[in-house]
Amino acid sequence: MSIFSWEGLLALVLGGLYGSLFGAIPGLTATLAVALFIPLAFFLDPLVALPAIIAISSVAIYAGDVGSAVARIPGTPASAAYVEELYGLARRKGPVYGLGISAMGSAVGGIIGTLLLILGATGIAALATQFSSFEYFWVAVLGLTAGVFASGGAPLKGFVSLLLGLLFATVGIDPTLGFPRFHFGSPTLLGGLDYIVAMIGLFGFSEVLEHLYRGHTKGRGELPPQQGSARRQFFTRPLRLMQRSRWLVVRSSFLGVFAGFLPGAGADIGAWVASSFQKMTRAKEPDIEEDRTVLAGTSSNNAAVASAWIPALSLGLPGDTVTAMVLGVFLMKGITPGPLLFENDLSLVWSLYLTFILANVLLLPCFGYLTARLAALALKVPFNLLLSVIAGVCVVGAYALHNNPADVWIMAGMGVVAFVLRRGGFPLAQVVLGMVLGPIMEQNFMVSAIKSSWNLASFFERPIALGLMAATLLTVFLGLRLGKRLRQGSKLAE
Amino acid sequence: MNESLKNLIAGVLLAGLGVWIWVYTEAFPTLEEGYPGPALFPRVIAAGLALGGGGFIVGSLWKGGEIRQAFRRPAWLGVARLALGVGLVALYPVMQTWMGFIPTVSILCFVIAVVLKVRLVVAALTAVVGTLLLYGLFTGVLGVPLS
Repeated sequence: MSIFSWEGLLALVLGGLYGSLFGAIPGLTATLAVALFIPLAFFLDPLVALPAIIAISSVAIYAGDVGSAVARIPGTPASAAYVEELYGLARRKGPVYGLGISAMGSAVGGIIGTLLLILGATGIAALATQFSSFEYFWVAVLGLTAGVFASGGAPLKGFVSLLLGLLFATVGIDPTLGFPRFHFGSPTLLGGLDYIVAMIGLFGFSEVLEHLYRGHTKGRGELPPQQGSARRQFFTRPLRLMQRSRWLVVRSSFLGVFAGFLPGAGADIGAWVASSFQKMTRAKEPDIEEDRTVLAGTSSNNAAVASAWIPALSLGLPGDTVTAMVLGVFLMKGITPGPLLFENDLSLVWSLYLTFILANVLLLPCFGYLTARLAALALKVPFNLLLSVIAGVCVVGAYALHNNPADVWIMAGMGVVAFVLRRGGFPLAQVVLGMVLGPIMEQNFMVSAIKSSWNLASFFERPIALGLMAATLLTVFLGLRLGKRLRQGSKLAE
Repeated sequence: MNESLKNLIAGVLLAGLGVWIWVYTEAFPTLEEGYPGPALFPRVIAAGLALGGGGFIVGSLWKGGEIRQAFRRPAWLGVARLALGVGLVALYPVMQTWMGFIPTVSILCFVIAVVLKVRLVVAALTAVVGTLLLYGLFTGVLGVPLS
């Protein structure tokens, strides 16, 4: 059997459809989609099961943007990095155009990630093995620093939002020493705050609360008049933007590849780092700032989807939770991932490469176009009516994740926190960034400190760690310079 | 409420939160030889919050004149509507075990739509159809249980 058999192609198409549904619905993630597919995958031929998993994860990461465009609820954590920009873009320039940037950026990012997977799987995986807890700590610090300055003109507010996210991440069992913190006797809090549940509350439910507080909504007709056909909006204009911003796409895709092949990092961090760097260097072309931020984030997260397979195929190490499950499928089918895979089962390896290319070249544009048209229809519904359904989706999405009623309360609490933060002008995306990177930073700091007997100089001794520290300092320098430029610009405008 | 007053309130709340975290983590254990343990990160966050809060307080007191002009009647009706939304969602886990998924989510969507001034018939229809679609999608198509 090959990927070009009717079973292989059907698996690809159905996997893409299934992934687009999961990605678009808040609370349902690419990981959950693959997890629910695994029992079925065990009974399928690897050349059917693995392409389906690739299609599910590639399309689900893109489809996470649909919720952002329609309701300001990112479908996956990878989409949270640029949710405000995509939502604004969908309202100002149309959802088909916004999701066109997202799909085209995802496709190109995915292709770049796949090419690097083909060309350098073994070499890149060898670099990943050089990363110890010191380097992971500095990667987290770099991501958090970029996040603070990505909040635009108010880095202090971005800093506070980030601290709140880090604080939420400390709830539950301490990741290094196993000490329970801030659980107040609640078994749910002892397990920690899930950032998917938090994200639904922060972005989705807070939107409902904001409109309930104001007591009026803008009704329909908020969308701009469509410039040209839907196909032009979805394909031509985003491709032109990509042509103008080709270095941004390449840079973001490489950042995504870098984040993706580090075990435990993945698409979420790739999207955050790429979109944060774009936000920090913006203001060259103010009219397309949002467009470029979405493009950076989306090309990075799909590049990371492909590159997460690099350590999985080359070393048998999972790059993220999806590839961890894939390794389970491999082992159950009697396939041993690692260097021998490239010698013994080269046809399988090439089938996987081809599947990635097909998923990015065909599935993303096709399902992307379909979902963008559906999103445009959804946005024609009067907004107050849409908000009542969004409230239902928030409740169901939070509950469905673990079937735990307490998650609904956590979601509601996060909605209230976000409502207050929004009223005070604090950015919300940084809260999610803190929740995602907090445990990575804390765990790797504590592990490094304990193994070096609290000799803190050891954080500055390894060459890659030093390089990452230099990148962090450069980020601070660029961020402060950008802040100064923005303040001067606003003074001139006054 | 103007920007300075918002920042002053935010500053006081954040600094207070920082102090509370610091005091709360006093009870956390330390490692052997006195090295910091599980309290280290929460305390770094507490210090950051206190510093950030202090920054907001100083920044807003600098513009004290604006603060004195900022008080006005709070939007109590908005607060009531907001409390209703939060209350409905908070009641979901209780009502769901008693009434089941479909009636509970339908009522939630219906009430929120009515509060947002959607006509009664449209609100009721949307609530029921929307809930049935969600239920069918989650349980039937995606195989995600909802009860």
